Order: sequence, then structure tokens, then C-alpha cells
Amino acid sequence: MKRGWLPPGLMAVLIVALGAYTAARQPAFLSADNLNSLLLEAMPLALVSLGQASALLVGGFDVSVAALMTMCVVTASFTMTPTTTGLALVPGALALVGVGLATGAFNATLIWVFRMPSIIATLGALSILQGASLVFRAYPAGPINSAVVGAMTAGAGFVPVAFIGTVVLAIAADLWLYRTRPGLALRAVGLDGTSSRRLGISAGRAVFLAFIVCSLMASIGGFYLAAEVQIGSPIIGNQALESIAAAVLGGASLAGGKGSFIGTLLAALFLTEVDNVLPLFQQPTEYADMTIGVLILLALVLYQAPELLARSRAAWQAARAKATWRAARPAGQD
Amino acid sequence: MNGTMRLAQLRGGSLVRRRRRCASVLLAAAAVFSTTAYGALGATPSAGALPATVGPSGYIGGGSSFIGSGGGYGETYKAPVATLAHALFKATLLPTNPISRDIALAAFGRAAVKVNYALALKCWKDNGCSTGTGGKLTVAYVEGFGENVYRQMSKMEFILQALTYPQIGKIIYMSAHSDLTQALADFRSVIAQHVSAIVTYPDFGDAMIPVFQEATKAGIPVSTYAWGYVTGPGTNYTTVVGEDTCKLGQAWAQVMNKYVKSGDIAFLGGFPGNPLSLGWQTCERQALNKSIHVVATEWTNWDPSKVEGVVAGILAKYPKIKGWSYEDGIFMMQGGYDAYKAAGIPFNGVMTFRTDEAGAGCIADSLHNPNLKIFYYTSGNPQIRVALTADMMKLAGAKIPPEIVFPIDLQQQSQRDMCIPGYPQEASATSLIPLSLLHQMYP
Repeated sequence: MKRGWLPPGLMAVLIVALGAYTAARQPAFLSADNLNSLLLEAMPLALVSLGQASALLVGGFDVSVAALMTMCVVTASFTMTPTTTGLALVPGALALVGVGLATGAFNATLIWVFRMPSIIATLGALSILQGASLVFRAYPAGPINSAVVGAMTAGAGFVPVAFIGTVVLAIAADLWLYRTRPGLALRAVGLDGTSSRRLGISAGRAVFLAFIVCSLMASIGGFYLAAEVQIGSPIIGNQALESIAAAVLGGASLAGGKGSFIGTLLAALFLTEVDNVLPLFQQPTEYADMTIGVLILLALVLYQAPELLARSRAAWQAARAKATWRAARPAGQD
Repeated sequence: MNGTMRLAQLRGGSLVRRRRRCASVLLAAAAVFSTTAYGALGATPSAGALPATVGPSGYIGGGSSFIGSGGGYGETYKAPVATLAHALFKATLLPTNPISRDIALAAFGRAAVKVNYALALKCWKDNGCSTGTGGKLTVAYVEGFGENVYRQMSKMEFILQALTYPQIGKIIYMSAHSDLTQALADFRSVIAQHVSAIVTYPDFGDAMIPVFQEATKAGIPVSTYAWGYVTGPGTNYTTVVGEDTCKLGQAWAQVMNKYVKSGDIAFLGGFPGNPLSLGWQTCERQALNKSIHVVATEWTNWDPSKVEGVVAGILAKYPKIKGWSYEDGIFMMQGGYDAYKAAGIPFNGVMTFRTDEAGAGCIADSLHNPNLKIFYYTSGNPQIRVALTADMMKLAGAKIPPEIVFPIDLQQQSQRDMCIPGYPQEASATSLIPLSLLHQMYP
């Protein structure tokens, strides 16, 4: 991971730079309430982006994650109601995980068994989940258990415990990805599925697991979305494109095989920071969308630049060698 | 090339130095981008150097009669009859609760207070401003969706009302563009900024309860307008201002019962589950006679471009539909009319609207169709003024009732024309925004 430092490094620099700029002009930014709110708001995006990064690593992506998160919020409004207490909350929570696993299995089967492109498969799941959410909750209703919300948003100072857990998870996932043989195999599948199959790696299983993990992480993100809105809202999830953006900004390649979970987490934090900062300056949130767009383009150029340069140089050298060979060959040899 | 080989190649050392240089340059570019992108954000518009085009903050008409007396908490409970009649159809259509009535009179009475129109316009265009008074209070209008003329007019009404208070030094406006997550973030942001008061149209209904509670806990009064009903006014937040949408639905049902008598009608609404649409739809359905069937209830997101498609779809299945209930008059008169025309069906029927855009009346006039019966209520943009005044009175120590309810009095287009020649088409004829300012907003 010699150059893997670049995306996380860039994200860290941007987080600090934007934070310092804002703190110097808007004292409210560094208030404990605001920082706590920022980190809690980052949780759903961070979790779903980690999942998205796993899908990108195998060369696919999942556009159904936001609809899945919404479905989880709606599910929570039925299974984790204010009247549910104690151990009865456990099956309620497992129901959300079940929704995630079922969606993941559905997507993965379409992609692996039926060889459907991931965008088509997950687009189908998106529509089904969106419709189902509106069927179960036509409007925001069904308060979510406040004890669950309290537990999920509990913190050490202004830092939510769950955020610390997510950081640990991202570090562990990166260590697994770059320091273990299965991690290398996963990247190899993303880089070149055919070759990796020839080398004996089970590409299909890797893709299947990647999409299961993606949906599972989205459903856990759904927990935090539920904690944020605290009611069964059928229109809350909108993190699909943002999660892809976070994964790309964090270093993932749309072609697969490359990515960083730590980078993805930092990118998700940065994108949430942008959303947090703009209202402090009373600036319209359109700027957030524009910023994300510009940064993605910048990231693609930045992260791909060495490869592009190497390819250009190779092409130039090949062309020059050909020209030299043509100039040196005896006349009339064509 | 297999994956392992390619990974190994990517780790190749010959390019590392060049990559580092490249990365440094691009990192610097990113930092410059970051700084410049946000460099302009700190500046807030102020009152300085603006031409002093001063006038009343709202419509005051030509008369000199007033309703009300007394006052308190920095307010005078007295308003011009002309202002009330313009905003409410009749000056007597005030809330029946005495305290609510006083708050409404105080709010509408401020129409006579003079403000700087150039500053108001700048504030409207810039989505907020410093008022230049040096006042210590900051007020915020935070809404889930602000991208139609109705909401933009509400924004201007809010700004004009805020400018009548010298103690307000800063006005903030935010729209979440229909994004609930953003709406929650916006709300939390203004709480973190310790604003003095918040007015909102809660497009997402009870999903806003957590942030309402957070604001209330932080001592910030929160009022909603246009019957943006979220559960728990008086406890979860300060108050809800508007007409009782259940009674509005019942009034529309009476119209349908009288003029449709029997047959199919349809309901249109805004965002799925928004409290305004749900409020009237539930009560109208219950109050309809048994011969009238609501065959469709569709959401339009209050997006004019969606209305034509939604109406066309309903017409395709129910071409003999006899009545429509919807909040937005002009969307139905434009998109709905186009759908009828495309389907080759005469634009007949009974229509009940919550808004009174001048353009809706003008289209109706141009059709000269006695079989088109239109009944409407006021758009209620000035209700946001009452919401802000309620917040200000709360800050001054007043006890605010949890609901400030305006009575319903439907108007029939054939008897009271919405159309006002020279008025912006999309603008509500009962708005209190001074006409000269309205023309600058929508030239």
C-alpha cells in the first residue's frame, strides 16, 4: 500500500483545513454539541460507505443501499417501538440485520448466479425497497424506542462510542485487506477476475461476500439513520451516490481492485463536515453537491495520475520505437 | 496480466518520486481549492450602502380603521382593517382564542411598520442578511423545501416581518431541498449557532420531532406555519399557526357534497405524508357523502411539472371524474388543464384549492366555463408573520397557546375573482408583500 496513503492523507488534510477555517470564523463549529452532531450525522454515511467500498473492491457498486437503509428505518419503527423492552428488542434489532442480509443475498445472487451487471441488479432492489417502505409507512409514523436511540448515540464526551467503533472497524478492515492473503485475493478479483480465477481464487464467492457485506453495513447504517430521525420515515435514505463518492474519494477505483476503508471513513467524515459547515455560513446546500462533484473529479485525476502518466509514457516509447524501426529498415521492405 | 502481477507493478518504485511530486502539487491545488471554495463564505450581506427605499412592511390599504386594542410583550394588539381583510378575506376571520387573536393582531399590525425594501430584497435574494440595526437577536426560517413561489413568498413575508423588529440583527434562511437528512442537519446547525427563534414549515411531519425537541430544550422557540402540524405543539415546540386543515377538508367535502353530489373525485397532495395534505385528506374523506368516491390520492411533491402527468394518469383511468381537491390552485389550473386538453376531455368539474394565486383566477376567467366550479381558501403566506411574532412574544415572556387557528371561509371564483390584473401570476392575492416589492421579486 505504498501509495495508499494518498487518499486518506488528502481527506485528513481537507478535514483539518476545512475545520480550521470554519473554527476561525464560526465559533459554533467547535462547540461540543455541534461536533457531537457532526459525528452522529456522519455515522450512517460512514457505515454504508465502508460497505460500498467492499462492493467497489470487486469491481461493482450498489445503488440500493439508501433504499435499504430507509427500509431498515421503517422496519425499526415496527420492531423497536417504545413499548418494546429488554430482550424483546434483540429480535427487533436482528430484523434489521435480516433485512440487510436478505437484500445482500438477493443482489449477490443476481450478480453472481445470473451474471447481471451490479448497477442493474441493485437498481431493481432499490425500486423494490423504495416501494415497500412507502407501503409499510406512507408517512412518517411509529416512534423508535428511545432507549435504543440513547444507547446508539451514547458518547465519551462529544465523541459517540459508535464512531470510535467504526474507526477501529475501518483500521481492522484495511489491515485485513492489505496484510492478509484473503484481502489480496479480494483485490485481485477486482483487478482482474479472469486471471484470479485461473490462479485458483474463487472470484464468485468473493463477489457474493462483498455484496453481502455491503448490504449488511447499509443495514447497520440504517440503525443510525433510525437513531437520527427516531421515527419510521419512508423517505429518509439518500446516501447511495454519496457512499460511492466517499469510497472513490477514499481511494477506491471504479474499475475495482483498489480502495481503502480508512480513506473511505475519512471521506465520509469530510462530506458530512461539508454539510455541517455550509449552514454555519448560511450558505445553500447546493454548494455541497458541487463540492462533492469537483472533489470526485479532482480525486480521479489525482489518484489515477501516476498510472495515466505511466501509460502515456509507455505509449510514447512504443510509438518512438516503432518510428525508429521504420526509419532503420531497408527501403522497399513493406 | 493477473491481479497479483498488476498489484506488484503498481507497487513499483521507479515512479514513486514523481508520484510524490505530482501528489504534492495536486494536494496544494486541493488545499487552494478548499480555501477558495470556502473563502467567500464568511461574508454576510449587511444594510450598509443600500438605497433607502422605505415603505410599510405589508399591505395596509387606504383606510384608517383598526381592529383591536391594548398590547404587551413589545407588541400592540391592533391591526388595520384593510390589512386583515386583504390577508384573511374578511377582517373578522381572526382566531377565536383571545390570546391567539392578540398575537395575530400584533403580527398583522406590524404591516404598518416601515422597512427598507432594498434590504428586504437583498435579504431575500441572498437567503439571509444582517439587518444593520445592531440587534442582538438572530431569527431563522428553516424549511424542508423552498423551491416554489409559495415558499419564496413566505420567505419574503418572514424577512419583512423580521425587519420590523429592531432587536433582530440577523436573519437566516435555509432550505433542505426536500432532503430530510439535510433538514435535520440544518435544524441542528441553527441550534448550534444559538439562534434566538426558529420558524419552519415542517415538510417531513413528525420526523422533525427530535430536532424540535432539541431546540426547545435549548430554549429556542420554534413555530410552524400553514398548519405545519407536528405532534406536540406547546411541548415539543412552541406553536402551530394556520387554519385547521381538518376543517378545511370538511369545508371542501361540503362543496363536493353540494355540487358533485355523486360520482368520482380525486385528491392530490404534496410530499408523501406531509401534514398539510394528510390533514385535509383524512377529514374530507370522512365528511363526503356515500355517493362520492375518492378514486385516487396522488402525491405531486408540489412540483408543477408533476401535476400534469399525475392528472393525465388519473384521467386515463377515470375520464368521468367530477371533482379535484388539491392545495395548489395554479398548478392544477396549468398542469391539470393541459392534461384535460391532451386527453380531449372538457375541463369541467368542481375544484377545491387551498391557494389563491392570481394566475389561477385569470386562467379560470379566460376559459369562460360555467361548468368549472372553483372554490378556494387563502394561501396563507402571512401566517408566517404570525409565527415569527409568536416566537418574539415568547422570547419576551408571553405564554403562547399551542395552536393559533384561523377560521375557514371558502371563496367561490365566480363570486370573488382571484385574478388581479398586473399581479404576478404565481403570487397569492392575499399575500401582504407590497406590490412594488413583489414586482421586483418576480419582474
